[in-house]
Amino acid sequence: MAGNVLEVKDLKMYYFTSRGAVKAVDNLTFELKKGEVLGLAGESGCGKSSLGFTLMGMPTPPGKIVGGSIKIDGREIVGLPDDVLRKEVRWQKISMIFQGAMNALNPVYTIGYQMIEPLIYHKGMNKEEALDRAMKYLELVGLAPEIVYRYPHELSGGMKQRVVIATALLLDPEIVIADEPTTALDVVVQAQIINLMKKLKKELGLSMIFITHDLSILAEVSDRVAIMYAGKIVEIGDSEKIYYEPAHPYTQKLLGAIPRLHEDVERLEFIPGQPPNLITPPSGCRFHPRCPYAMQQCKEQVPELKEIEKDHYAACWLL
Amino acid sequence: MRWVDLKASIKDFWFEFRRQKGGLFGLALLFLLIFTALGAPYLTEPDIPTKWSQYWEGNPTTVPPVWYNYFTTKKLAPHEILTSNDLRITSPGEDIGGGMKYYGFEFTYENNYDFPPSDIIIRNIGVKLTDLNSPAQIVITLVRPDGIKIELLNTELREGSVYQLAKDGKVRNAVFQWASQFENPQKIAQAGETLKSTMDTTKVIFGKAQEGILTNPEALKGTYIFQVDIFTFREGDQIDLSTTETILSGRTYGFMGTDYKARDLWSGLVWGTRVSLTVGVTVAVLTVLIGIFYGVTSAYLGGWKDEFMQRVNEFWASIPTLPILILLGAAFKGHVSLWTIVFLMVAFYWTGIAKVARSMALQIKEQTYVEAAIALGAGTGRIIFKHIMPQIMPYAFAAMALNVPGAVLTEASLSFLGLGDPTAVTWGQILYDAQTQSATINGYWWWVIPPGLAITLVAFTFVLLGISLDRVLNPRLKRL
Amino acid sequence: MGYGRYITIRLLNALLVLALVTLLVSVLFTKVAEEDIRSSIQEQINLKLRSNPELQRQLAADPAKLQEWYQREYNRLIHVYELDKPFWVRVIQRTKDTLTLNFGNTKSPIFGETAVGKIISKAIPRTVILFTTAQIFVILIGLLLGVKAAQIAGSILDKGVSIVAMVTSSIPMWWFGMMMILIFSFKMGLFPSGGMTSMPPKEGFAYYLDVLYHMILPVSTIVFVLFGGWAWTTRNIMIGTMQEDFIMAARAKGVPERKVIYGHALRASAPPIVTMTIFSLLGSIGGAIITESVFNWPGMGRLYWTALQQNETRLLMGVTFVTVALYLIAMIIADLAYGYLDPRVKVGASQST
Repeated sequence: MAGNVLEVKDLKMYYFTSRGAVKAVDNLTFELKKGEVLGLAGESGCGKSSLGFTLMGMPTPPGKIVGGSIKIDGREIVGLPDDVLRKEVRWQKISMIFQGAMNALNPVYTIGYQMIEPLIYHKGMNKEEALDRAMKYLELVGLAPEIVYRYPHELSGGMKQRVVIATALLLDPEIVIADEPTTALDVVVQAQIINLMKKLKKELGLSMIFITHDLSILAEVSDRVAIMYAGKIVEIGDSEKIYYEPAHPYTQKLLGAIPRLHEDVERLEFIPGQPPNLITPPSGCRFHPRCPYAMQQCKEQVPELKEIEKDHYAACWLL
Repeated sequence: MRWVDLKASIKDFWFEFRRQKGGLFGLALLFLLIFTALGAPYLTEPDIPTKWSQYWEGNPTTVPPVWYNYFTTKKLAPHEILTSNDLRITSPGEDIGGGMKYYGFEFTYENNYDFPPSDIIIRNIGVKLTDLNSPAQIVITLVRPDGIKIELLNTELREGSVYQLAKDGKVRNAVFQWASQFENPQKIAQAGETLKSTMDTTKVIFGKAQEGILTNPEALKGTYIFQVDIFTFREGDQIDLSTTETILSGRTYGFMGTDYKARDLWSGLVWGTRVSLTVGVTVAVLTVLIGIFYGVTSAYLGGWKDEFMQRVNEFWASIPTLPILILLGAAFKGHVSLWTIVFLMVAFYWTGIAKVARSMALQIKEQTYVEAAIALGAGTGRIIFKHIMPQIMPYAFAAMALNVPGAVLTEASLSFLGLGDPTAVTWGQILYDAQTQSATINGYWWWVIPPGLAITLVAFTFVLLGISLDRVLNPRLKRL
Repeated sequence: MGYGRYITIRLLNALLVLALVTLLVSVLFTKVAEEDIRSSIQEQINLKLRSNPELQRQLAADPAKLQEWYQREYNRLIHVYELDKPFWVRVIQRTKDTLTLNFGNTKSPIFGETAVGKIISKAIPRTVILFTTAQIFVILIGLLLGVKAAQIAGSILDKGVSIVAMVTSSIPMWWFGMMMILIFSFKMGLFPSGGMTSMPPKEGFAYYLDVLYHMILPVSTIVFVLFGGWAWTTRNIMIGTMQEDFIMAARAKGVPERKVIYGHALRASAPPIVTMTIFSLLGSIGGAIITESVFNWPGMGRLYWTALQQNETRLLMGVTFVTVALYLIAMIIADLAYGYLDPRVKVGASQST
């Protein structure tokens, strides 16, 4: 397909622990079009954050890519030596916006030092040039350039998040993965960051994967949305469609659990039961133990994603 | 916590712990140590602690263990005690006229060793004399495998007489006299006195009758017969041979050899397990309990009370422990009991635990459900025991195990400085004696190696247990 | 809180601790010393009587006179040794003397001196030569191994480091020293069993070689017993740091692995490691109390042993005072270093963590 910057096919990433292999990402297939924002949502522990690092070719230990393919701009990166990945792919082609308010910044280095690192290692710039560019990007994200001389603990959560965003954009990557970029922030700052990202998307034409557990944010920023459950994508499609006409029972439940301001809801729905154990996931459809519509077939056979209307796919035996 | 939950969590714990190879090994070692400590009276003798500080009469001093023979080409005679059952009575009190009686017994010794016994001690002959001015007479004669007969001793026998043949001057004279006939007469004339005073009596007795017997005796292997003749001179004098004991002082002794007080080091090692384990575990448990109590209280009280308690903690923590323990030990010198040592160690060790416990308690206190419980009016005790303690307990168990090695090593160090409980059997003290007797320079390896290994083993056991517990119970570190 | 003010407060705090510890120790030792002095007074009087036949003859005639002479001598000496002063006055005096480094004299000469201050100033350089040297080896080896092990966590090297650390941290260092003497000195005859020089000491350059030769066994003992623990602690701190998000972030940014480890991870782990280093270096001046005794090394540790064996309470007080003072200095420097290395906390860091 032309216009795809990222094509993921049958990707499998397992964590190898003492209790067995945790199938955090299992047979995942999707693609990202140029200039598109793909939202990735699901409960915590469904494997969506694992996916972020996996796409960069560096699953968090003890995780390993077991199979499948990741193509960035047509180039296969699964199986590339780590050295090549580091020099040619990471941050150049695909960069990441971490949860900045957490610990993505090393407390003992200045902001400037941490921002110029990729410029020095990838572009071979000297310190002055690099700092110059870092300052420009800080301005782009709405921060004072002098911040380069500050230490992380001297900044507020929102400021740190902007620094992290600026750092991710420094090398003009093809793809930006935003991993829960607003989770640890308070609501007002969250809104500011969302607006910033929308602005950057418009100005720079970013292709982005936006990972969050917060569906209401996804509706704001993404063009398409993928819903993950237990290491698999259960539904993927235009965000409007997913939001207003969810096809998969899990998506419906997930949406039912969002409080909405303008609608009178008797009570918030919740999904009974707990996310499954990913070492020995349920047979058949992984959602069947919690699904109100579960049938015999759901327990026995794994449903594949099928196109239920144009560009809207879901994996459910009901459809 | 309900019983079902407890059972489930123990099961869960065991599931994780089972995977810790080090932990399982530590557990096995722990069982072994406990078994040794509890079984001490049966593995050795029950009265070891009372007689430990004395000289062990009858044992050879500073000899290696018996199994040392497996590693040397020159075999060393082990320690042997012959009782009346091993003696052959040749005359049970034959009347030889004039009120005189003759008693006789003999015993044989199979010498298969390159180094014969270091001494032959005959004692506990039951003697009852009617007139103390007229003692009985004893004659000890040796018949060697080569047929030579030597009269070793001809002397008085009284109540309580002990004959240490190797240390006896008369025996030395007799043996020297006999042996010098084989030597070059010129040498005897020149250096006779020196040779006499430096010769090893038993080596000569058990030596080949040839030139060099005095200077460099070669062992003559075979059967030696010691004949003992006793004569009494008064009517009514009685000799009872049933209590007689003959000790062939070994050049080796027991499982672990002996020290300078002729103590059986094996007994010391076994009994030392008790002290080491008791002190180590008691100190660790008390330290952790006190530390946690202090830390949690401080965190719970908060405000200026917390601040004050932290200052006190810091003050206490800034006192270096070992020098002060040494000083206090010296101040109490000579009458330190094990419990004093335990008390002193606990007094200085709780501060670190208190600090960690406080910061853990502070975090727990912030958790919503604890705040909710406080808002609902739960009492102080309930908050601490129902909410804070259960979360700190895993840390506490691991901390207890991890604190044992330090306590064990400190106790050993204090004992090694001579500051321990003088009445207790401890490994540190055995090593202290070894050090004061220059055991290392003299090569008394059996005195130096086992106690240190034992200390290391106890410490290592708890290091293994502690680290495994820590990995299982404090899962933040699980990945390590 | 300003830096200057903070240092002042820390210093005052340390002085207070020092004073209180000294007071505590003084109480103990005034008591111990009293018994000591009383028996020594008896001896002195007896000696005086025995060494003076004239006096003996005079006094032997009249028991009352003897009694009186005896009492007078006794009182005089009690006054000389200030035992007539109240207990607390003596305690305070002793505390004051110790705090002003006025440690007094020993009963018999040690290292050829009787002034405790001089004895200690002779011992410190010797301990520094031995123990500080060893400690530097320990830190270097420990750091390198620890970082390496953390880098390849789970490898054979890493497991090896853990096992060595667990075993060596269970070994009493002094016992290991005894073992070294047994093996390398007694059995193999390769190294001297103790002391700092041969007797009599050599001259010139040979002297230094001789000291080096004597250092080999004790230094290897210390290094062997301590390096594992260091490596392991370093490893654990490093692994803790390497699980932080910013390390993943640095990797994601394409920072070379070597830079990630020695730049980001090691730099972020530096505060606790540097604190440890300061403590062990300054602590080393106090000597490995028992190990020095085992090797008969005439340093600070040996002084403890000698003082205990010969009941030299003044020396014991002096040595303890110096050790405590060094420890407190180490605490302050470590605190300041921590604040310097970790930009998050400018002051008082090691207390809150």
